[in-house]
Amino acid sequence: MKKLVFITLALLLVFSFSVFAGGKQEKVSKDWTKAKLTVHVEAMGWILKKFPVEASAKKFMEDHPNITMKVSANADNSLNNYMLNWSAGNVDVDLALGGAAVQVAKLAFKNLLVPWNDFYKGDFTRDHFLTHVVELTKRGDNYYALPFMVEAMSLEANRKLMVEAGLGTVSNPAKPKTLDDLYMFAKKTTKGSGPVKDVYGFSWNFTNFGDQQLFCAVNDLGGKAYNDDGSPNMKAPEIAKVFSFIKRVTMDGYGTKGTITDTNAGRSGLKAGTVAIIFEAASRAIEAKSALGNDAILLPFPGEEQNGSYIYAHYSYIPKGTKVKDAVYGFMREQVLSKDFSKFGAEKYGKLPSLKRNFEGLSSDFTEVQKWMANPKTVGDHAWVEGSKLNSYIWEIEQELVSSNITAQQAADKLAKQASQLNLAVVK
Amino acid sequence: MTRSKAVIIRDNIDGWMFVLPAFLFLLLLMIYPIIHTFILSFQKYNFVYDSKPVFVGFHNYIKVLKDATFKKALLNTFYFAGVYIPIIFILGFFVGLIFSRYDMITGKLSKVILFIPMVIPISMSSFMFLFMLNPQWGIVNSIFKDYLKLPGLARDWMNDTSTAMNMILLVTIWWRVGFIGLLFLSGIQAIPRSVIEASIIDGANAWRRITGIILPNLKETYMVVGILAIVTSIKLFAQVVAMTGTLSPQNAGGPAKATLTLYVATWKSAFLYYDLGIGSAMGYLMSLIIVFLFAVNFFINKGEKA
Repeated sequence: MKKLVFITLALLLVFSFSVFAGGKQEKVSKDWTKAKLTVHVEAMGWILKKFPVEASAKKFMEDHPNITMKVSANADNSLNNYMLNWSAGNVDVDLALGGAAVQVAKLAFKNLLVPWNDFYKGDFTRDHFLTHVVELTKRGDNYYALPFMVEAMSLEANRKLMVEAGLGTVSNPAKPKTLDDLYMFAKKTTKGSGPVKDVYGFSWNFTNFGDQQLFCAVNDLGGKAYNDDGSPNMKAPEIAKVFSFIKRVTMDGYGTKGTITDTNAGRSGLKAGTVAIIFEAASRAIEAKSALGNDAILLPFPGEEQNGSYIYAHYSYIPKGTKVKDAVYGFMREQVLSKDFSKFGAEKYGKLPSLKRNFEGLSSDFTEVQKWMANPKTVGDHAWVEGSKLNSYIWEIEQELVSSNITAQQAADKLAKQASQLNLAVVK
Repeated sequence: MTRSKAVIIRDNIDGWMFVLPAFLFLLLLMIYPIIHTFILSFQKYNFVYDSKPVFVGFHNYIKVLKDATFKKALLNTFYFAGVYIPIIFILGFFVGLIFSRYDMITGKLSKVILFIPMVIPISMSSFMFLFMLNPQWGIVNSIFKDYLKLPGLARDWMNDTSTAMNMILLVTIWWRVGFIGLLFLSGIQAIPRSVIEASIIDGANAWRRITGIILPNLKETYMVVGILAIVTSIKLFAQVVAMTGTLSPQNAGGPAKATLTLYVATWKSAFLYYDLGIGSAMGYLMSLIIVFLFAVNFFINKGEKA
């Protein structure tokens, strides 16, 4: 009996350890078009909603009957799960979709990603893409990620509320030329009294876009957002001007603080008609058409028409350990970078293609954005060593600005001091 | 007759084998991390950017203690504990007292009602409060604006540095008060009925019975409630992340660090910025604070029942 108990326990232990330690073992032939294999695609939840990933996977399986596609959602937008699991060698994903440059750069720095160098050939050479967002992924001689969608910053507005407030006409809504204009727009479109308004004229995003808005605004005001070595210019005098605007518009009750705890409060408010103008990705205006119809419009941030926009991408990346890289390349070329895939994301949700040729045939909503993006002064996203910390500092200081007596100049000085203690070299 | 060590081991082998899996789990999942974290707290190690940890002595501890963010988190945590612990003691006691009196009428239902907030996951409760506190369409401001006609009292509760932490206190008290009330109820019910009846015969009024008999006889309950309240305060995490950082974990502890607690700051350092050395040092400092507060709790509540 004793021996039986002993053996059972020992077997249980061995079994549990083998379950924990077990990994994916798959032998794959070199020719992915013939070998029987499985490709696991994982995308952030919102990407599955805004792009036809599942339908594309199905189509890919029909075109390649030897391949089984598995699609799942990654609920961790911080990519912490990838960082921890992949570092421990637990890789069960062949292609990941979604992640900003600063996030994916960390995975690359940790040497967890397969380079895409040999992907960029034929119809997919780097010059076919929006160059900046590709070059951002270069580390040494390798390109560690591939952009599959792009966003550009601008103002998104509710035309009906603007016209009601006397800001232009339906056919010609007014455009703010300066920060004072934008303040006046916010003031005129705000409705209601008391500490909480029925309609706020403006929404600054105090979290997820807090850093991108700042760099975009500095650039649009004619400032230098980045230093020559690619690090952020946290001493730009325009930072205090932007901070002054944020403080004034919010503390005077024309700007909502809703995005502090709910990063989506601005876009939700735009759709619900409780916020008149937001400053986020241009896609928000296309998205808001479902609620506002043609009253959801794009406006340039003051100076954007002259100085360009701020663009950033979401990336696809392949973890080391995958055995099906060539099949992943096939899926990207045939499906994710196809015109249909891009069109779906663009026309329904305003997500712009990373491949330049996929802009052809898109609706006129994107014409203006394309102009701003094409401006040589347009700046782009970043991947600095301690970029995540800098982002947090920017968000915190912007929140402090609208929650305390700190002046715009003091906030700008404090931010510059905090930034000076970080390593903000470009990830190379 | 003395038995040899070999015989003792042989006779107890079954017992050891039964304990072994649990022991191995404990070793792997608790003891190893505790030791490893302790070592890490003396090393400079960013999980992403450093190839290997480098021993730096007490540098991490000194850096943490000088860090404004840590000081703010410490202050916030003590503020939370300073408000939460007395309130949960007082409210919990009165809930226990009321239910000890009316339990006969409401029966087991009362205990179920008391326990409902505890069985709802705290993250869920936090979301529920977040909805209710929404400045533009939440029910709280709606009551002030539409029903009481007092729009001046409406607030941007979670986005205002002066109210955000108090809202987290509110959720936590709502979540815990039933359970703490049950602990007090058990303590009160453990007091012999004869003692209470004797005091009534002696002419003691309700106030005298509470202050002279019930309160002095709850020392063991104070000890348990004290420990639980300290743990809830120092380990304050889920409510903060759910209410301030769900869609943006980096923002957890906002607005402008107003709800940043020790636990959240430690988590951000270790798992958002991957500064494992700093995160470990913060974790150990937090443990020291918990041990200190436990000792204070023990010192205050030690001694026999009255």
